[in-house]
Amino acid sequence: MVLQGQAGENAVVGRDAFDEILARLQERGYAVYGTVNEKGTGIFRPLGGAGELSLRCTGGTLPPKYLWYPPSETMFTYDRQSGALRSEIEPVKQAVFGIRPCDVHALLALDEVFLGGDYPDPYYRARREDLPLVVFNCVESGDTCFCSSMGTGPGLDHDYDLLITELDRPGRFLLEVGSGLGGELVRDLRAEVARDEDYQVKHRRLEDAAANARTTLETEDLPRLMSEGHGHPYWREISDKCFGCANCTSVCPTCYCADIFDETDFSLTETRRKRRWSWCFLMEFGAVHGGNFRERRIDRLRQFMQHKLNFSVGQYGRFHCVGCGRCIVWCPANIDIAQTGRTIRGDA
Amino acid sequence: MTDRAEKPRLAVFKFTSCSGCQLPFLNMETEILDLAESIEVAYFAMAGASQPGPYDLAFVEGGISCQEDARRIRKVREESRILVAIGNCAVYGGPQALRNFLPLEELKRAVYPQPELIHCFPTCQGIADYVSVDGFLNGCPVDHGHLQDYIVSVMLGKAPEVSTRSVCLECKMKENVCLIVAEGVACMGVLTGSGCGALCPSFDRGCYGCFGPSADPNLKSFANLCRELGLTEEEIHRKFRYIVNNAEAFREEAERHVPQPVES
Repeated sequence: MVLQGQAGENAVVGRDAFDEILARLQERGYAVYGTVNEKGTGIFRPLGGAGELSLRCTGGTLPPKYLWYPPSETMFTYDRQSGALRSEIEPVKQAVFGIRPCDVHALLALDEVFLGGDYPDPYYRARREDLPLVVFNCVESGDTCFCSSMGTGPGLDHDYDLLITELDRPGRFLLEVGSGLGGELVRDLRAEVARDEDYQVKHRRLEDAAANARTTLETEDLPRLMSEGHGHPYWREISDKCFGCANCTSVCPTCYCADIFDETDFSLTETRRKRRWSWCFLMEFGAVHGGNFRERRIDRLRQFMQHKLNFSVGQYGRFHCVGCGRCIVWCPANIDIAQTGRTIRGDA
Repeated sequence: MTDRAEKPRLAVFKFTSCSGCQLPFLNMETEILDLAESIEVAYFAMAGASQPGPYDLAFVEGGISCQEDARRIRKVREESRILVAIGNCAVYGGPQALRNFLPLEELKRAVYPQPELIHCFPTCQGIADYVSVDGFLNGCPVDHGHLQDYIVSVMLGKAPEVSTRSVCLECKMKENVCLIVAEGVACMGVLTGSGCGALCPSFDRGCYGCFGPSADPNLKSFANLCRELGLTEEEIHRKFRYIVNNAEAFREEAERHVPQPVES
């Protein structure tokens, strides 16, 4: 068959289709990012060719969040002589090839933070409005993945331009078109017709991935139980181990806090107002006039985990933990948010 | 506003140190031209300036190691409106503060052919042990970005940003793979303040702690990690008796891991 390029269309393709999709994204002016195997893990990098893509998800170090919410950015510049403000917010054309369902859910959580409400963030919007997503469903769970517990994976059924699921033979993928742009990326591609067996394989593989998750967390009634467990002795146990280094928050795909500061060069002619990632885990975060409202490490650790597993539900109606497991992987003290949730709720 | 009738007068002084913290000033290259427009470099021996005080902003490199140092730092203090300690030596006493933990006379005899010519204090300390200090910029050497921000902040009359973030965050921003997690290296980045750009971990070497303790270092947990990774008490002791040995937190942690006495 030949793909018509319509939303809702499905087909079975080989890996050669990835090259075509990537080339079409690049032709349309997108900088395309995907996970490549590097330093023993998967790292989001600008992709040259689709051959560089790693199909096995390892979570990587930083999530792709930095593409729509950079670690540091200039908000505006201020001319100190004339007093003029200049803000150049240009639309950014980026695409992610092989983003995972957990990270898509994290993106949707950030959409609510930055674009919901009366004051949408123009910097975020400039990077978010034109952001094609080619999603890879996860057919196996990593050691620290608990997306199936958080309802954010291993499969996705919304908010994708293209959705790709590896079938039971290597090099066969079920391709599902989720948008008009997704359609354009595959129009006229030669493909096999997707049969009922192919859908069955997809569903079986996703079910297996969920069933084989080695990390789990029951979320039923979790916010209430976390609130009741605010004084649980386990907080002391883990904060005694915690280095307070903030690695956990720095790799979190939903952390959205920023620190705003001014940067002026020696000539004193121009000041740049910038923002950079900041986290409740930092001592400097709680430093206010007259003191620090979160001086103890136990309070900073608890704030981070309570926000993800409890407060976010009250604020935004969803957990700001998507179960990606990065904070577990990269904690040098082996502190585990899922284990903490299980312990506080009494399941451990 | 920032326009002043006179440019602020900058001074850079050296005490007991290797001079490495003066180099970041000279390495500013393009920025230094703008700097010279905005301020007057009144005293900076390495750059050939040696005008008398008073100074608006004085940066001090080096620890206080002898009577002459002590006399001179008091004079610098009197002549300077804002006095800032830069680098490990001025902030904590530097690598040479290792002598604080050993008998001075023995050390003199071990190092110098004529030990009687050496007139120094038994300890080398940061300058804050002798005079009041307005700001501290850590590092070995100090980071030129921190210096730049400090100078500009003083010119604008605002508080400088002094980050207390850990080295780990610089590693993460560079997408380095964590040496503790992946390689089992007892990297001190989790305890150490940022500013170096995670220089050593970027070359697969564990952090040596040059920028001194971060805001709230968990030393006990780090010692436990070291033991889990197979380090002996002596090796843990030596981690804290190294480049930054005289910061209170590191000094006290070293004392908790006492090495076996060396047989002579």
